[in-house]
Amino acid sequence: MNAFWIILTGSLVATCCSLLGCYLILRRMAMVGDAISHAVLPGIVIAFLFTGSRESVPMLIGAGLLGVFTTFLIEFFHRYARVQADASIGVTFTWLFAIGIILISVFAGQVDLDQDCVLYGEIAYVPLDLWITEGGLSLGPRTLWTIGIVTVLIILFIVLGYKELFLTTFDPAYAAAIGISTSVWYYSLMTAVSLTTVASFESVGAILVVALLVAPPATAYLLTDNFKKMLLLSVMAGILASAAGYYLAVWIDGSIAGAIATVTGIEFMLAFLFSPSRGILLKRKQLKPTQH
Amino acid sequence: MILQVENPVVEVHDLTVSYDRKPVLWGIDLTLPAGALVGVIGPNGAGKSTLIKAMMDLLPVGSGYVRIFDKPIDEVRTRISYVPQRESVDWDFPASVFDVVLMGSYGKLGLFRRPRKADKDAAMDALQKVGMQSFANRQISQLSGGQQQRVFLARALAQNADIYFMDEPFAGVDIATESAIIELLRIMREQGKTVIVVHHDLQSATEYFDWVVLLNMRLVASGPTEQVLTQDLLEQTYGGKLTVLTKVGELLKKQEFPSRES
Amino acid sequence: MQEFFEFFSFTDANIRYVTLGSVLLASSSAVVGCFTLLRKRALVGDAVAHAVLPGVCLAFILSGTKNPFVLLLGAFITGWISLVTIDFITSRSRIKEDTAIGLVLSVFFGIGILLLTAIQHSGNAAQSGLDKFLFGKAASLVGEDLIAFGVVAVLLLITTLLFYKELTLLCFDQAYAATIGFPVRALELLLTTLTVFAVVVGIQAVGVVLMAAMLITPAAAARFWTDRLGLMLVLAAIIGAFSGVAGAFVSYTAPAMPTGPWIVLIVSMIAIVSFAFAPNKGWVSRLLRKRRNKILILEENLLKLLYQLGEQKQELHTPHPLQEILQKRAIPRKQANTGLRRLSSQGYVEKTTAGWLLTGQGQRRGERVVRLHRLWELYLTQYLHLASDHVHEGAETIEHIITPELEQKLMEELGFPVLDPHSARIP
Repeated sequence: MNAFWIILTGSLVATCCSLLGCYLILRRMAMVGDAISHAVLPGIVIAFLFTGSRESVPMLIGAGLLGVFTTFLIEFFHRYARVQADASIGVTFTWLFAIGIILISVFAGQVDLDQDCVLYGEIAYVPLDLWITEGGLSLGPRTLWTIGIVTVLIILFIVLGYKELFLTTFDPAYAAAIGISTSVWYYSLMTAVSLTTVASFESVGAILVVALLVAPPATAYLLTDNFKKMLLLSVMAGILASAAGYYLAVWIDGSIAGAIATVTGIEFMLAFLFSPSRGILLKRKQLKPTQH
Repeated sequence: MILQVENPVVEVHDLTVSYDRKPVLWGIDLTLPAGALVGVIGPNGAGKSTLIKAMMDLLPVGSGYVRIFDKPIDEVRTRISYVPQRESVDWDFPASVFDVVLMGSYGKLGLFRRPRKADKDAAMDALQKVGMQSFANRQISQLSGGQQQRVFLARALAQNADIYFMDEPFAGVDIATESAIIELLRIMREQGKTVIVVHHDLQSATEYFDWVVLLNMRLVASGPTEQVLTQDLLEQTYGGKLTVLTKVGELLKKQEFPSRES
Repeated sequence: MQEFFEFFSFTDANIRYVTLGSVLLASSSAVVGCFTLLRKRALVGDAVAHAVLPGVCLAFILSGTKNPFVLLLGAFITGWISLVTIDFITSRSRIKEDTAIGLVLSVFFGIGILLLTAIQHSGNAAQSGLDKFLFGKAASLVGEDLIAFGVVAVLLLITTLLFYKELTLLCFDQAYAATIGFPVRALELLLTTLTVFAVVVGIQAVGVVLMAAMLITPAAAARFWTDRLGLMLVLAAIIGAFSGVAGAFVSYTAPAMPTGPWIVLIVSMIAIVSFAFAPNKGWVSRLLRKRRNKILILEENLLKLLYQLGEQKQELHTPHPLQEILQKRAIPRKQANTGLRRLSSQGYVEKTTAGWLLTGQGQRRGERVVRLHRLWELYLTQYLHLASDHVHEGAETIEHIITPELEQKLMEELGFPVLDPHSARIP
């Protein structure tokens, strides 16, 4: 049963991350995703200090807002202080992450978080924290409920905003010309990414979220030319990595999150080498633009 | 030679656009007639793309305003269409030709509504007009430059707008595509649409357009083609930048001066 | 406080070594970071930093020791592989650079974490202390470690100085460097190697997770203080060294604290202060410049108004009450008063009982503003073909910015005109 809960949690985290990651990599914003995942840490610690729990709504909202604030800050440094774009990302997230780690050390007594958890989560402990009703009925792990609700929200967001997200990602100038606000959809997407990182934080940690945000979408991108298929394949790659990662970790007795990230890397390598249309070793058909 | 028209479709008033405080367009006053094929012509870096983007309110403007159909732009968005430069998007994007053309219906659909059969028919119809109906399911990464341009044009057609802004639609396309596009533009003009095209080839301009705007950081001329494409006006347009204007622009940037006082 | 003096008196040999080590590590990565920043590849350093973790773990697994040279070698190898992988993925597939960086960073780090946790669970007693690579611990930098990493850091600094000219050219104009026969490929390789080395030594101080900050942040901060590369390198090194010492101090006084985050926090604060307050480029100094421009515009407008009032009566020696000035142009009364008082202290106007009067100096400056305004209006009508009723607003700003040289040029281009488009005389 424990294995089931862990893999299910991992799969839900992978689903959220993989879906949003598709938009991030096509917008060339993979590193902004990386920055957000680091920068929510101080928010998480502060929310923890105030509420004393890890699974509260204030925690999700508070830390999520900090993620969006990070994108504002990156924009601000870049636009108003004219810091070079990549440096602006680098300075912002290392700064916020450092603050987070220091807060954890300073409040070590009050905060049930440690540096290891920050780096690679505690997905192995997910089944230990069960939600038991007053009647004594076990409703399964608490974390699962949090990430489950976030998954539903993310899927709703993508289904309802499908055409706007698609258009603003592909051709923002045209979108703006026909009256679709690019910044509204940009910040909605960033909010979704922040929410996902906060919800995934305790399972896989701040850094390995990035593996799930980037690697499955990149794998899917090499396998298909259809955006809907890319979303689907990316989710499948993510879920597969969660399951395979779990057993890999059990086998060599290491961190589950680390193993999941390793498997996403292997998946990408396989697609990179053997993708039917784009693999570098196995190009079945050479697709050339037809002259017209 | 700047001709202003009565009841213009596009009215640009005292428009100054700056990048990083350095004006790239200075005080443009311009009116365009309805139902015309308009060519915006000038050397590289003259601000041609900037002008049409500013007309659609895609850029912050330093001063002045633009009205389309005698209304502020945001009130007439659904009547405007735009064909961006081909290089402005990533053609490796996982989308099919049909997906891209269907985007033409997104503006009118509004939030949460999915394209219906009528929208899909309109998209197919537009593809047929540009001679690409057999490519509907083709991935956009497999298209040639000319085909990419036709897809963008089909997307704009599917939108069924009243005014079209096109940024260099003839750049890097084959002759067949170029004549197919110009044929379409003429049909659109017959239907009373206004088409504003950024163009860089002087030779074909005489043949293609019935109204020409000559631009080089400032408006040199605007009027019927035969009156505008004269030796004298072309020399003014292509005879290099105005040194005083460039220097003042650099000073504005260096001193971080506002382009208007208030 | 006592600890502060204890630390900074450097009487304890240990403290001397730790401080020296931190300074070397932090400054050498800051110097290399300047070049990666200028090549717009700042975030690549982040990927390398995360990618050294599996190398360290593998080296430990294979050798079974924590010999610094062995670990360094392992770190160097995987760091290098990560860079090659990023380049390979971007050149051989349609994956873009940011995705490749994010991918390599997180996957290599994941592998590192997997190996590290496996080592920790294996019960090998020798492993303790490997996790200091995660967040750094300057205080543990003693003996063999210090010598090894210190030597590498010094070598890094020397190599950078030796190839200063070549690296500079590579960063500013790669194409030009190639045409004049510079071995661009070899130089890129050199910079890559330097980056990997900088990361490998830097992680001793701050750890892999925050190493990116040591490459990017001092360089980004230094960039705001100077446009000269040589000075930028020195400043970045000083900023890096300062935060390194501060980190060593924290590490000394609060052994439970992770050093890396403190160093990064300090260097980030320096950077943010630089972004805000650096003269010339900083955000605040740009705001101040805007304010100065506003004041200049106000003052010159007042002088212009006084001059125009005099011009109407063809007599510049009568004073005008404030009311009259404000009738001609609506300026908030308070602003106008402040401006006039400032002008009078500068000797441009005088206050009399009947109102404000231009001094000789003020007349000349007011006249110049009016002249520039009318010249620019004329220029706009003649060269930009603007209608004469559309030129006034444009000239309202430009009249304040034209330099004497430009004024001369305008006069020449316009053929020393006498009248503006509204047929007013150009003084």
